[in-house]
Amino acid sequence: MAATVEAPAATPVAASLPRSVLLRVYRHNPAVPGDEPRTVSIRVPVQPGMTVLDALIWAKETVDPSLAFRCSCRMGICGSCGMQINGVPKLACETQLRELEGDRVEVAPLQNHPVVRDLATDFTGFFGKHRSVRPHVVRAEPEPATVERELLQTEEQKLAYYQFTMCIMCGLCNSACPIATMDSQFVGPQALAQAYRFTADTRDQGLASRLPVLDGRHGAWRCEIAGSCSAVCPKGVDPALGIQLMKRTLLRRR
Amino acid sequence: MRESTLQLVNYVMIAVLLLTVLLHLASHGFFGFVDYRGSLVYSDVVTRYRQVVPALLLTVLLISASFHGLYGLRNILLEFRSGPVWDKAVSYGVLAAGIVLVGWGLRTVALTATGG
Amino acid sequence: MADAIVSVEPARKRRKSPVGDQVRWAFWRPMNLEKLALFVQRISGLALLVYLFFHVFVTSTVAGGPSMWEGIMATLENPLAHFGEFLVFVGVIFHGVNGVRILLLELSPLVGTPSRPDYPYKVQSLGRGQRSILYLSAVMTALAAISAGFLLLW
Repeated sequence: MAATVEAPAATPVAASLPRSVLLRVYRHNPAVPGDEPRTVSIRVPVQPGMTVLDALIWAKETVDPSLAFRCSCRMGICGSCGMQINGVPKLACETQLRELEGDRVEVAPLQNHPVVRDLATDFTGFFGKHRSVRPHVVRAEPEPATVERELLQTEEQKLAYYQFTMCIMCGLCNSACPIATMDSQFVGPQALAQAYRFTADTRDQGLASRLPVLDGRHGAWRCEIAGSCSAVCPKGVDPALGIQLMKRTLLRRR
Repeated sequence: MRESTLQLVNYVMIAVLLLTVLLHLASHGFFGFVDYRGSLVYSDVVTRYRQVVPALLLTVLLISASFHGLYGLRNILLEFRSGPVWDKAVSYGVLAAGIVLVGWGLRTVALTATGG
Repeated sequence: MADAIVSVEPARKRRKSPVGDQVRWAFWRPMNLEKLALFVQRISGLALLVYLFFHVFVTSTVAGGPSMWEGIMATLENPLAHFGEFLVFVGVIFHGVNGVRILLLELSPLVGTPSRPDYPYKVQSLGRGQRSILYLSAVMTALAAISAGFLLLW
């Protein structure tokens, strides 16, 4: 006698999941003369597991193809879809609609970045600040013509900087940082954490070349540990930790 | 001057300030043991200025509090505008204010201690 | 499917002003306690700096003889001045204790040590240790307010 196999119980749809949400999107095209910033409210039908990015893609495909936003991987690794969601910098692909309170979702471009169009912001300044701290392994002397061996590292030496390599350059930390909001010249938590990632790397010999920026008037010492950068980082990089370790390195290796 | 140099000086000033401000508040009765209003009588105040240790305490407190406070103000002001002109103006403006403040306080100590 | 568009309204314009921006970032989300503590640290620091100038000026009257000193002491013997002194003491206690927390975060292992970032991520710099010191500074500020209230305002 064959044992009866019961069908698995249907996964209950959360009672709190609304049938639709009001997606309130910031729209603005600075390239069009006379175009005023406005908030467009769109009613989006909700499916279980839907993210803010899914809602935006639905709106673009179904309602208004001119809606502009950046996205790529849909899985929180490319760092393209950073935006202000209900006032907090988040990755749209990693923000479930059901985790947001209420049935209204306010979507706006990342703070502290100039707007290119709608939700897409200009990252030129952000990348420029990153480049200013020389974010690569810097060797003291030019490499010899024939490389004898790899540069070896123990597991402990790697762990000293490993978590800071997880940065996907999404820009959420620079948006959340209050100092970066006030001071446009502040290099920002992302660049400072990356500066530490390379300074703490035993293969790197380039701290001296980074000092003018790191030890300058708008460098690591302008951080006042508000902690907002680490509060919004989606990859567990904890840039605030990197910056405080960078400060200690600057004092120790003067 | 590198920022880490200024910051090191600030750390030293913080340590000194923590100690001297607590002693200053204690000597005026904020933690008990001493009468608050009694500590403000003219003769008592002048006596304190004429004793080496209390006068030194006040001088050290003045210097450390002025440095720490004005360094903090400088850092906040540096955020408001970008550019080397603003940076220099803020740094030197704050330095000037510090010289005036410490100078005025040292004048008080010197005049009172020598019987002004 | 343009009927899915419910409304279009002008976006809120934010006027940039230095003081307004400072206040705004303190209350912008993400609202984490450490950012609020930084805001109060700045406010108390600036207020104490202003008081320092005032205090050095007031106490300099001692060099002008007993009549000058007693004159200014009499002027300051009023409830508003005592409330000001009360605020100064409360401000010093918060600024000092929170400042020690910041000092420890910058210079000691309290901020954490780098580790493998496995999900769910443990944000070490916003850890329980420094949060406890922040709560302690709030408690000590409250105690300072009570004791200074009795001393100055009773």
